[in-house]
Amino acid sequence: MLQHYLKQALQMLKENPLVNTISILGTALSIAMILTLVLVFQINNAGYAPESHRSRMLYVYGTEVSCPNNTNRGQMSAEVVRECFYTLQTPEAVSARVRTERPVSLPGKRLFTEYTILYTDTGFWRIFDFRFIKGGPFTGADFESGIPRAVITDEAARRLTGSVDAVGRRIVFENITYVICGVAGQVSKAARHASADIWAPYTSKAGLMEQDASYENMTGRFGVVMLAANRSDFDSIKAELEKQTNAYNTAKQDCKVGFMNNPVTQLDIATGSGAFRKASLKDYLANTGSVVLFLLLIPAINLVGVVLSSVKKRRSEIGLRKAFGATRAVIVRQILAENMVFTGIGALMGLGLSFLLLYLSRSFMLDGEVALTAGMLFKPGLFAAVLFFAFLLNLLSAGLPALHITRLQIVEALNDTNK
Amino acid sequence: MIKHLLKIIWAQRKTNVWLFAELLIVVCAVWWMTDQLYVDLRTYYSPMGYDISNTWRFHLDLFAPDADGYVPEEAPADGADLVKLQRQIKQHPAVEDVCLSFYSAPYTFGNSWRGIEPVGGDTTAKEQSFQCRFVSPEYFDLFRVTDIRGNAIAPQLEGRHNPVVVSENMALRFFHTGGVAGRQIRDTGQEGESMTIAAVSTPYRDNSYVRSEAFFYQLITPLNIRDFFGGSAVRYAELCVRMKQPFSQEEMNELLHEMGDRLAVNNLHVYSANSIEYYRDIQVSGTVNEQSRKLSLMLFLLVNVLFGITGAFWLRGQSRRSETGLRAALGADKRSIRNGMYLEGLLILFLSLPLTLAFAFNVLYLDVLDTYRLPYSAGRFFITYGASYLLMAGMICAGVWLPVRKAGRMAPAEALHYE
Repeated sequence: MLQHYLKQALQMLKENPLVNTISILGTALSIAMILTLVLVFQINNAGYAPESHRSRMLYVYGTEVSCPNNTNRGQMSAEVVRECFYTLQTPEAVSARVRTERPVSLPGKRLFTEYTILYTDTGFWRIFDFRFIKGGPFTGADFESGIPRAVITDEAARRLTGSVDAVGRRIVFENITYVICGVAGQVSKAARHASADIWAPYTSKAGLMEQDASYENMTGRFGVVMLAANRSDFDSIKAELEKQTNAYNTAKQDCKVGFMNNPVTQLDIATGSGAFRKASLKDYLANTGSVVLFLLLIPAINLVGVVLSSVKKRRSEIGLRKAFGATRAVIVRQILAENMVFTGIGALMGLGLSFLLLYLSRSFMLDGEVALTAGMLFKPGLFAAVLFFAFLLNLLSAGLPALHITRLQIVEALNDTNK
Repeated sequence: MIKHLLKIIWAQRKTNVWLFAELLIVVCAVWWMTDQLYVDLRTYYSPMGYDISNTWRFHLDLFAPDADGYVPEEAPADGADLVKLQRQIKQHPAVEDVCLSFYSAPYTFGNSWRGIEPVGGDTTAKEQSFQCRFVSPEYFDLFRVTDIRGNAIAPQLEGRHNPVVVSENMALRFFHTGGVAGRQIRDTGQEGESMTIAAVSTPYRDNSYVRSEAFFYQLITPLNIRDFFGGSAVRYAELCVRMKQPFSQEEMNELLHEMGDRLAVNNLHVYSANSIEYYRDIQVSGTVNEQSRKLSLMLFLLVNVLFGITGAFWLRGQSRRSETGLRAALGADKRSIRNGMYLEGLLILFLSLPLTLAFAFNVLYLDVLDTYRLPYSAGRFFITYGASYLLMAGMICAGVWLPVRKAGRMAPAEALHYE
C-alpha cells in the first residue's frame, strides 16, 4: 500500500514539477520556522552538559529584604545562604554564586580584558557536570579556608597563559593572585547558570562576605541553585526553605528576608519568568501558540489551493474507485497519505533548514552569541515536533480538499462535469 | 479589460477564495508590522540630545585590605581622591575631557525620581515628580549637551547657588513656558535648600527607541560631592571620558596599560573601561532582537505570498492553455496576454482593500497601535498602508512572472493543440 502511495506521489511530482516543488519548499520553510522556535525553547529548557540535570534544578535569583523603613530588592548575603540554604536537608546539593565581569591579569603584568568570573562553592561541582581537560575543581578544603584557587576554561587559559596546560599557573583578578587548579572544556553561554570563564571559591574574596548592617546583614550579591534528588521533591524543598527562612527571620530584629516567586524551575525560566517576575505559562502558550498558528496557517492556505487542483484532475479516478466500493474514509486516507509524501519530504528539508535558521538567527533568538552544541540540538522532543507539525500541516492542507472530493456523487465524478 | 478580468476572477472563485484569504491575512499582518517598524525608524532618527562618539566609561574600585596594592588609610577620603583621579586622567594627551556622574551617564539604567515644588510665589507650577540625573559640570560639554538655543551650558552654571538644569519638556510641563532660567525649585515636603535653574537643556532620550521624557540635572559640585561619593560609595561613581580620537577596545586596553599609575589614587583605582556605545548596544539589544524577529516573520509571510501566487497562476496557466492559445491565434499580442495576467493578480490584491481598510479602522478605533512614541496621523497611515500594499504588489508581480514567461513562450499552434 505504502509503495503504491509513493508511486502515485512521484508520478504527481513528475507531472507538475514546479508547483510541487513550490509546495515542498513552502512546507519546508514553515516546518523550519516552527522548529526554530522549538529549538530555542529546547535550548532554554532541556538539559545538556554542564546543565544536564536542569529538570531537577531550582533557582533562587531574586531576594527581597523588607525592613520597617526600607525595602531592598536584589540578592542575598552570604549569611542568608549559610543560614537558610546550606541547612536544607531535602536537596541533593545546594550552591551559592556571585557572577561578575572583571579584567584578569598575570602576576607582574596588568591586563584590562574582561572575563566572566563566577565565585561559588563546592556544591557547584556536584550540581553541574563539567568536563575537565586538566586538573579538577577546587576542593572543600580550599573553599573552607578561602584558598585562592581557580578553574578556567581552555579558551581563557590559552588566551592568558598561551596553553591549556595551565594547572599551577597564576592569574590575578580583583587584586588577588589565584593558582589555576583545573582547566575545563568550553561552556556555551546558553548554559547560563553554569557558564563563565573562571570559577573561584567565594570565600577567597573577603569583599563578598561584607555585611550591610542597615538591612541586618541580609542583602548581598548571592544567588542560589539547588538540585533535587527527584522532581517530586520540589514542594518539600520549598516547604523546608520556608521553614528555614522563618526560623532565620525570627532571630532577627526588624528586617525579614523573602524570595518572592522564587525558587523557580528551568521551565519557569524558559517561559519567561525572571528573578523578580513570575510569567504565566498561559500567556507564554498564547503568545507562542499564535505565532506557530500563523506559521502553519499561511502555508496551509497555499497548499490547499495546490492540493485542490490536483485532486480535481483525478476526479474521474476517484469516481471509479467509489463506483467499485471504496468508502469515503478509504479515499480520504489515500489522499492524506499521498500528500504526506510531499509533506514528509518538506518536513525533512525543514528539519535541516531549521538548524541553518537557528544558526543564522542565534544572535536575536537566543541570549547573544551562544555556542551551539549537538547535545543541545538533538533531543527526542525535536523529532517528535517534526512528526507532529508535519501531520498537522498535512491535515490542514489536504484534509479539506480530500473531504471535498469525496462528497462528489459517483456519477458526477465519473462524468467529470461538476464545475 | 477590468470588467473582463473581474469576470474571470469570479469564474474561478473556488481557487481564488484561498488566494484571497491568504492575501487578506498577510496584508493585515504586514501592515501591522510595518507600522511598528515605521515608528521604530522615526524614533530612531529623531535627535538624541547628546553625542556618545569616542566616549568611554572607566570602572572604579577600591583595593580591599587583603588585596595586593592596598594602601592603609586613616579614613576614606570624601570625594577628594575621586577629583584627583579625574584630574590625573584628564592630563593625558589622548583625553579630551572627564566628567563624574552618579547612575546618570547615558545608557546606564539609573532611574532616580524626585518630587519637586516651586519656591516663592510661583503659582503656575504645582508639585510633580521628575527623573533626576546627577552630573558634574563637565558632563554637558563632554556629551555635547546644549541649552535650547544651542549654547554651552557649563558657563551658565557659574555663580549660581546649587544649580540645576531642566530639560525643555520639564520646563514646559512644570512651568508651562520654556524660559525658566533663574527660577527656583526645591524637593517637596521638606524645607530643604532651594535649587536655582541655570539653564534649559534640549530633550534627551534614554535610548534610540524611546521618546524623550521630562527630567532635570542636579550638579555635583565640591560642596555636595561627599553626599554622593563619600566613603566606599566612591566605587559607584561613573567616570566618563571623551577621547580626542576613536579607540577600539584593544587600543583602549593598551592605553589603560600605558596610563599605569595615573589610574590610581590611594585605594581608588580604575580597573577597566568600556565604550558608552557598548552599553548602548546592551540596552537596545532587546528592541533590536524584537525587530529582527518581526522582520523574519514578515519575510516568511511575503515568501509565502510569492509561493502561493506562483503556484496558483502556474496551475491556472495550465488549465487555460487553450484559451490563451486561442487568443494568441486570433491576434492578441503577447504583451496584452502578459499584462492581463499581471493585472489579474493585482486585481485580486486590490479587491482585499475594503476588508483590510475595515480591519485598519477597527485597529485605529481601538487605539492598539503605538501612539505614545509617534502620534497617529494621516501621513503615518498612508505611508505604512501604502508600503504594505506596494510590498504585496511587488510579491504578486514576482509570483506571476514565471507563469507569464511560460505562457508567453508557447506558440499559438501548440497552445491550440490542447483544445
